[in-house]
Amino acid sequence: MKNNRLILVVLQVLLGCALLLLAVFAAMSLPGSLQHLASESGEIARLRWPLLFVGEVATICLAMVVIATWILLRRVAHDEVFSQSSLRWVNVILYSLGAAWLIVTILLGVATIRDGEPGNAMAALLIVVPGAVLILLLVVMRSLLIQATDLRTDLEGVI
Amino acid sequence: MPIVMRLDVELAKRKMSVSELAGKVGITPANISVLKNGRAKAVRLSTLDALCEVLGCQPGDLLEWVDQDAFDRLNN
Repeated sequence: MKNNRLILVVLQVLLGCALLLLAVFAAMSLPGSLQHLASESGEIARLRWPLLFVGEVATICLAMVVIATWILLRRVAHDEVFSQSSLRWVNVILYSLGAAWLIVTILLGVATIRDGEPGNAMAALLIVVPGAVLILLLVVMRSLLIQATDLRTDLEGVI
Repeated sequence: MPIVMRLDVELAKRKMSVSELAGKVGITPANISVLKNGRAKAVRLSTLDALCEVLGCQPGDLLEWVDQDAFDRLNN
């Protein structure tokens, strides 16, 4: 039990760091990188603002995943995770991750097709396929949470 | 559920109140009411054991199967 608490604390700290990194990425890294790329390529310069918008949306989706995971960890710590409201936060994680994955997949797909380099295609697949695996794993975990919640509800009805 | 718990009869025999029974058995008065009103989905054997010990009776004295119509009449 003590080990679980330590792991929860470490996870929450790491999630806090991840949120901070995402904030820095959204505020500085992404706009800065696109500005630099736009100065070197006329094509990117034309697409700078749409790419920035899409990039920020994907970053916000990832931030929502981090925040929802934080909330679920707090519920685990307080033994409140087996409830319908926890399922809503799992749905937030799934839909946000799905949206971010879709955005990244489309961007990488378009870039890979225009680029035509096999190496870049492999790199894109190395991001897209594990992302899909992670999302499908979360769908399975969601089903497990539903079953565990139902069992917990039944058990609480036993006098 | 068509299995009812005849706690009223046993409580009346021993002139014991619901709260007194709850305290001795170690469950809340609310749960005793749930048992009495037939709203319990399941009962632990340990709870049944405690009830029989406190009331000095057998499980068969407490548990009775009734058909669904009789059960609905009991609860209405």
